[in-house]
Amino acid sequence: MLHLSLFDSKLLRNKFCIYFTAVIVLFSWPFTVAISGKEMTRYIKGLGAPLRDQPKISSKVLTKLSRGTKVLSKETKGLWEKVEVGENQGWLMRGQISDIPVGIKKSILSQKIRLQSSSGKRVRLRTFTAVVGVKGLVDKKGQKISPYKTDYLALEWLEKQPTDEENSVQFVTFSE
Amino acid sequence: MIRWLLMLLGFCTAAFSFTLQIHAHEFRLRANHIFWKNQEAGTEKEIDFGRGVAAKILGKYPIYKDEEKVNYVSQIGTGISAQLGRPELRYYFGILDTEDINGYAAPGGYIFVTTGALKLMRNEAQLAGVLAHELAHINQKHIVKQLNLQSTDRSMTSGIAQILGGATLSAKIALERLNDLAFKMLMEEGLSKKDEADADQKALEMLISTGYDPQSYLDYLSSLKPHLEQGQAKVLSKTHPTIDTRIKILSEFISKHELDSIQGKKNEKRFKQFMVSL
Repeated sequence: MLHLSLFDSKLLRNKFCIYFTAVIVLFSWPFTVAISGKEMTRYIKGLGAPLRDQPKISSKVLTKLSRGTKVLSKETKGLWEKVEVGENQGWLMRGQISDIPVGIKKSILSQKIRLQSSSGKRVRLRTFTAVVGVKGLVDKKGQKISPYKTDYLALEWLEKQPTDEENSVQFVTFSE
Repeated sequence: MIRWLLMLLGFCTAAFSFTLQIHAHEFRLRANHIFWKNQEAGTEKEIDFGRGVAAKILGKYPIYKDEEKVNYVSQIGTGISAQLGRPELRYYFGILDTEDINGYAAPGGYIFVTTGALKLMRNEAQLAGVLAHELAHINQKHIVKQLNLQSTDRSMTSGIAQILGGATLSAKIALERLNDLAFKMLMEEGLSKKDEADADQKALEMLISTGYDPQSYLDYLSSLKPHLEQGQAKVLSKTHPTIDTRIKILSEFISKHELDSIQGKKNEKRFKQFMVSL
């Protein structure tokens, strides 16, 4: 009944209909904005991401944002995104932000598997792939699964090399 | 009567709209939580998978163990990855002792550059560009996507977890076979042209973001040309689009985003100081 009466031509002239429409539009607007997702929460990926005044690399740095900081993305312009963070508004390069929260560093190197090698020597290796590398995974017919050689000792040497993110960031800021 | 009905309807719509907003927010939070849990489990599998591929790369080319040079390459790479890489990964930057000119990236954070490529480079910006190109392959999970390790929830890494997470022998065999496929992709078949163009563009963005000269990367690509003809970059020419195509795509990208006026640091002296005895 009500549905039909809404489309009644006399009712359309009624000022309450205008109020009604206004109420619907006003209350639905924030919902529409939320769904359209123009303003999205994003997260800083790197150590000390510079927030700039303008979408230009030569532009003034307003502040440096630390890894994991939540920012509200307002606008996109080429390689740049305009963000709001606290009282600051500025521009970040799109590679500096992530859609998903920043996770803690993952390492599988502490996971060790003990096994007896074919020569009878006990070895401790990291992860399954390393075990396969030494033992050589075979299928039911005894054929080796992979035809390619591996070098896990070289890989472990590389993994033991020291790195320091903050030092390295400092190292690449150097300019001759 | 109609007035009251209309007002009631108006309030109902408003209440409904607010309820939906709350639900949409809750839904997003919940979806984010599930996605995040999957992502965490997937990252470990991705590293395990990538380690296998990295070990195969090192099975083909010997590792170069000059600690000073490795440390230099690693500092440049880590300096970029700490700002623009995936924060959940620990990246490793190694040098392969071969005259072949190339760079490689295995999923999970393993990046290599050959001594052949280092000898061809003229400055630090070129090295940063090559490392950034490989970093982009890992950031964008190109290998994982190309191997179609995608699960039903469209999260690439949780797909790996589902496929390779099993403890059974068949799961292990599947992992080993996928390792071989990824290795073959790096050495013979190459990634898609789209992925290579994407990695080139992302590398340029990373160079700009870290203050390096973007033109140096294009210069490096041009300097590859004669070596491709001589066969010193056989793997690279087999697995990548032609240099002309790559430069054309990058030039279009540069003019589209008005990047031609950007001049960054090259750090030629520092690069030569570290690489002098190579």
